Amino acid sequence: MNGPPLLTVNNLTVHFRLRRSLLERSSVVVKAVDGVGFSLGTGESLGVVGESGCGKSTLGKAILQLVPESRGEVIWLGQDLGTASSSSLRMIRREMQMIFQDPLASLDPKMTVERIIGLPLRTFFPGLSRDEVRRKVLEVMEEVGLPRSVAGRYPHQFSGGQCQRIGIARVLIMRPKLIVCDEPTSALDISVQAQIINLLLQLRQDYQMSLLFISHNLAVVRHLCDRVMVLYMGKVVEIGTRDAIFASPRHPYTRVLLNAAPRVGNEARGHYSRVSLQGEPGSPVNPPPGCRFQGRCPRASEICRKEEPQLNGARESNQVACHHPH
Amino acid sequence: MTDKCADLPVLSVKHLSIYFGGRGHAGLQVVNNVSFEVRAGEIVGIVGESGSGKSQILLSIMGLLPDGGRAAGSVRLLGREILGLPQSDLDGLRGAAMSMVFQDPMTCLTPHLRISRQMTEVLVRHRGMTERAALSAAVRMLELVQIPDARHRIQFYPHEFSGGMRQRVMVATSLLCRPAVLLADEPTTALDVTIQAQLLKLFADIAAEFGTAILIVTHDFGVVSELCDRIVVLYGGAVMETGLAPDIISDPQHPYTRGLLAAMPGLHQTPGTQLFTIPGQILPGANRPGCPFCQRCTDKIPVCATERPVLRAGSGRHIACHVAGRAEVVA
Amino acid sequence: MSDAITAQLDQDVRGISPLRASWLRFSRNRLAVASCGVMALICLMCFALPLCFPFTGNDADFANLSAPVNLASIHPFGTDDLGRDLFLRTLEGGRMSLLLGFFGAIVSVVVSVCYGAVAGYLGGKIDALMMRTVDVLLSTPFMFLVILINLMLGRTNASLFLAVVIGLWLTPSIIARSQAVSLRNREFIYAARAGGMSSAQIIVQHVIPNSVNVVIVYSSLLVLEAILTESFLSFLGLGIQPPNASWGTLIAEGAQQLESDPRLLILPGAFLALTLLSLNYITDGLRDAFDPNDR
Repeated sequence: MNGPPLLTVNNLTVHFRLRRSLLERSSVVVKAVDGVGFSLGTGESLGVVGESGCGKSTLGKAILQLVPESRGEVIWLGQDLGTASSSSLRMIRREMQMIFQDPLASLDPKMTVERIIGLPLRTFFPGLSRDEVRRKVLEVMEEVGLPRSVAGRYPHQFSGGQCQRIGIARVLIMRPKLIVCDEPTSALDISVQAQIINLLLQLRQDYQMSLLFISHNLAVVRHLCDRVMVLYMGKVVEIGTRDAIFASPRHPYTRVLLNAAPRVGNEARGHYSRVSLQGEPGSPVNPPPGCRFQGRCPRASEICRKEEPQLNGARESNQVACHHPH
Repeated sequence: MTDKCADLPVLSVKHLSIYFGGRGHAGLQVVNNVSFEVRAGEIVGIVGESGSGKSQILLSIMGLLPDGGRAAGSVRLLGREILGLPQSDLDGLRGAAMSMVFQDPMTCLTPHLRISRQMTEVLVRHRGMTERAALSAAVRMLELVQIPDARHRIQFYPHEFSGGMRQRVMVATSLLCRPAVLLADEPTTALDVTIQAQLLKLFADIAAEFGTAILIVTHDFGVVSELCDRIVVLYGGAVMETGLAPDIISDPQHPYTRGLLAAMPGLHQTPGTQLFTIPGQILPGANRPGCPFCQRCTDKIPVCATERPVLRAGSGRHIACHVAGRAEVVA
Repeated sequence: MSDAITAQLDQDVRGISPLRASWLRFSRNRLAVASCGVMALICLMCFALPLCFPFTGNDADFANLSAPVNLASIHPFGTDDLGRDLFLRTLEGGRMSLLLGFFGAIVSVVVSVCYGAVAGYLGGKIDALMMRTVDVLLSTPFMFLVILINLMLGRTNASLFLAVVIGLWLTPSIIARSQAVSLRNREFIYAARAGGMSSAQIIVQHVIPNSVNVVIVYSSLLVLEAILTESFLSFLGLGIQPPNASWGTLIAEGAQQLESDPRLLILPGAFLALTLLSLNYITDGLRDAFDPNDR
């Protein structure tokens, strides 16, 4: 990537404190995101994959400063968002937007489509006239493939795919530099998923937008992203280019994840009989010392139980946090 | 059709139609004239998108259609007609001869009862077992679905299990009475891929070991491809294409099946290129004239809009299309 | 599936807002609509009919002391022992009761929704402080508060109004707060925050409109409660002061003369009962139409 990165995240940490009861002093710490760092260039798309509870959604929200518990640095074009004043944060928010998993739930049921899409514009530019906002809304609706005639309808009258288009239109109207996509296609049917993926590809191409694409669907990530980051229990276990991750994964967990994904085709049948991962992801509540994957890892040894592996930048194509990488 | 079990089908569904609202054949039809069979030890997948009526088929087999839903046609379980049986007779069959696993295991387990109680209840009621015998049978079943430390964990409450564990508990519960048919509605959709892989293996083992006939409903071709012997592709409440899973997936012939498989990002697609999409969106109701897929089909000919294609045999499968596979039939 | 159906069947350009859909559902509930008619009739009688009489409810007609029921006479339901027209007095009392009921309810709803929405949406220490205040007020005996207000402001209509509002706003504020808490973690609120809206903007534009279902149902219940509270306080002598009357004071007077003249109790009592009954049915209808579980 040329020039300075659009977004740099250093040592981002989100620890939620769960109080067991009102009177109990000791509290439980959930380490949802633990020391995550990466950078993202203009026009680049980074896929974040992992199983539920690995902190990928929290990571997306923390980058947008929606999680008050987050610590660490989020640097947007050289400015640290953690120390930014609320007014400059507001201006930066225009440039980083978010698309959500549940298309219907992310739209206010009491507002018409026109109002939903126009709201960010009216929030940031209260001076704009009604007609101006309306013109822009219709413009952006056309862009995402929504007919003008539906502008007066309410979210519950749309299918999931159309709701997701509304969500994208609401984001697109601000012409952001970065869109954080939190599982935007996992609630959609296959044929609709393809439409939304195509739309995102098209928008990326047209506007040089960066994507932070959070998903558990490896096939979608492979199709849409230039680089991939694999999270396990709040930690980055591997990060690298798409080709490196999919062709030669180095972390045992990445391998397991790629293996477990159901595959379409003749070679698929019976492939579940291959070594599949035993056990379940551990709990991010008070994780064990050492590597967090040790309990399920086929390569775990003594050092894994004692020492936490650090992200190793030996290879440019993919960095891995493992004592015994492939 | 090549049969790996020559005996009679365990579950045979013939000309099943499902309506909502209205009386007789009025109201909204969601399933139109669907027929398929499941044999012992066989895993059949019903694949379709939302609105295809796939879940309604399972519910109608279980006799659990919601209020306002009516089913017509025939459903035979071990040769016995079960469609339209009174609820009291169905109660005797559900959980014993046939049982069902749902998508969200949390909604199917009563939160305030221990797992032990929920599992033994079925055995005590259907099999007349004593509590003790039922409990040890339940523990054995939990061990079978690989719940570690089953003897201890059976005393847990549902919320103390993780999502994957809960789905295992559901599978164990549904297998307690050794049902002839296990119905599963998107059993792995709510689970992570590594857990999903474990569960798919479990389903395959169950079919192989107990000879249980498994009917699984899903939208995921990956699941079907890995698990099922035969598949039924459903669109708009009607069967589009049905046959052996490897045949259909390696060589889809119905335009809808072809479109669906092409729309999935996968290994054969170049990353970053536009995916194939099926234009338009699914329309509700299954009682329009013509092919249900006609509006979205790229291969349509005039007759598609007026005449409903019937399911006919062609190259190792049955297919309902006026266009696809015609040439072969003539030849 | 139902979403797809509405998307297809509903081809008109303007969508049906959830609020309008609820009203349509309400208007199909015959009992509720009939009750609305009854309420309208009662209101019309209480507010318009007294203007047709040549005298007021406080004017004594010394020619007709304790006149009997005679629908053809100028006093259709007779007079009390001071010669005041019973029917007119009931209507005028109703005016007071209904005014207090509706305005008390409206003010309580507005106060409680704003309070609850702010507490629930902001959460944390502010929420804790605001809700503990509500707890303290709820655990203070209502009569104690009423007497305190009476001591401070005197026995005026304003103090009665204040007492009604203070007695009523607490419970709905808890309901509004729980609604706001559940909204806080909905994705569209995250979307609004990511879209750069301030907390105040989100509360006004997203939280309060989405609490409106619960609020509409509850506010109709509040009218009922406000009327009951007013009647109760007036019955105890802490409410409307003579010579003004409300249904509560009239019932209190009637109860004292129950043996000599049961009409004094029956007439205002019947009006109050009819009002409460129809309000009940309206509340029921609203609840069915605005069921918060049905989005």
